Amino acid sequence: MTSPASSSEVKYLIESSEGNTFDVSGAALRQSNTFNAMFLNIGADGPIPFTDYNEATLKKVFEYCEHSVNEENYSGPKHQDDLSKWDLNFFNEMDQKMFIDVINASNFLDIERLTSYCCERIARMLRGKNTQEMIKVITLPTAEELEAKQKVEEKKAAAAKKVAEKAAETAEKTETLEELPVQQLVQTTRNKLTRKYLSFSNE
Amino acid sequence: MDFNPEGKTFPILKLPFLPLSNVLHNFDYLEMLDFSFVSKKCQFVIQLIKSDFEICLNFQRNRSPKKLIAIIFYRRKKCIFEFLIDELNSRKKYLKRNDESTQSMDDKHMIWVDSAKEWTDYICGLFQKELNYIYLHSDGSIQEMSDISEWINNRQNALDYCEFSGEETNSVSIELFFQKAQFSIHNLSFALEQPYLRKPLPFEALDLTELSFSSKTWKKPITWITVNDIINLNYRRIVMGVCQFSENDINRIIKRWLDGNNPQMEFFTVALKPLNFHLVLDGIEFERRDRMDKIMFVYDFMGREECHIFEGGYDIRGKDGTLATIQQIRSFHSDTSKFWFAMAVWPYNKFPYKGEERSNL
Repeated sequence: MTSPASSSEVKYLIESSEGNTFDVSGAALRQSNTFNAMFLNIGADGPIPFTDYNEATLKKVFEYCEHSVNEENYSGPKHQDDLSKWDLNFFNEMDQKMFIDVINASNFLDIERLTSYCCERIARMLRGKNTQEMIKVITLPTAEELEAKQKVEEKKAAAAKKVAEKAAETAEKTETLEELPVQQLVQTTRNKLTRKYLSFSNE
Repeated sequence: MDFNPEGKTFPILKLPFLPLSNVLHNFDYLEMLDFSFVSKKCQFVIQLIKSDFEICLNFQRNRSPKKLIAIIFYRRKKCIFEFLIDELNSRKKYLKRNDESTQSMDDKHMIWVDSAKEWTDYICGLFQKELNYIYLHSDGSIQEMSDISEWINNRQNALDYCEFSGEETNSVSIELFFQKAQFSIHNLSFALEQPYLRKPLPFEALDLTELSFSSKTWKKPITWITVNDIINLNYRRIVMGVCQFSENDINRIIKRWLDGNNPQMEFFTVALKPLNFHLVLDGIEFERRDRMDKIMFVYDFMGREECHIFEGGYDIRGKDGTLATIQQIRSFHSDTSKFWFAMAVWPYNKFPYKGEERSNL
């Protein structure tokens, strides 16, 4: 059940993409600007549908909100050394896919602290790196790799062209009607007729 | 998830724009520059981020003798980041520009000028900003000044601030800079140690709002700006360091303003020897204010809000009724035998200004 009351005791029901529902405290939910804009003043009958995100992701997002609910000025640790045991656990429990899902959900729910916190962690992976090192982290191919890839593709295209040319030559030589597929047969016949017509009109 | 291992990968470009821009806000500007070279998309993301700083191109070698700073970012007049030319040039392969022109140059300084211009183009494009300020060396060569002026002509219509500073002055090349300039300069500043002695500079076309003239060595007053220059210039605000104007010169400047010359003038101040106001006010109608009657004149100069406090002074009115106050009162900070003469034109022709009651000050 849901209520627009501002007491932190109030629990809201959240519905995930699987259709599952779970409780979140009003205080935690109010960290979401999206929630504040949509439901805080008007209230909501029944569960609040955040159905673009799965239960695990939403639970992780609100786990952070519940944790930071009593820390008004909490903005996340700024250095690796500042990570509390809770912070370390919070991040270590996630694989990369879930981490991205959490960022996306936090972005949609407009939870500034969590989004900034996650983004700061990503920035840390790239900070102090040069362009080549950044490319490796972002998993983009380097210029050399792109060049090599292009060369391979060019080779493949050249080989395919050769094969096609050879096949066309062979087809021209043998031109056995029975061996040709129907469409090719129609096309060959049409070509022959055209050639005949042209030679006739030239005469 | 482990966050700091070497070689860890993360598909950052798959993030929505807001988190991605949030990540980039954690970078310094050199890291953003490096990020921009990763791919066109990275460049595009940076272009979309709103930047609240001003870009300055620095050609003054004496500003930082140990390291050559090419580009400076300012926020509210405070330096927030400096790009060293060596740092930038170590990344030159990413510019993918044609280096033929640079390779053919023999002059090392011109090579540095050329690459500073290239980097300014790239960085201004990356952050979607115009070039706001330029610091020029007063001893720049003819080719350097000519190149820079033409380059600005090709890239924008106006500069917020242009400063000439240095121990030596090459007046021919400075003159060439202004002759070639087809852009306006909001505020122009000269901090020359060697007096500029040539004929008046071609300022007319610059659409100037503010002018600042100073000399680092107070034993060498500004002699290259004449009373006629001041009378003929169109400006809103001028601040001049130590100058040799006489009572008669100041009298002429005031009279020309009373007659309607340069009606847009708001503030004129110059450091002079103590003036005899009987001579300054000769032939001028005025109303003398009580010395206890303090009033603050607030004005913008070089992007900052400045204020000048009049203690009494003389109120004068132009032919159109515009009210101004003149006075020479505060001593000059590094030469106590000089005092600031100030002339302030009151907006809306009346006191108070910006909520300050004249009697309350």
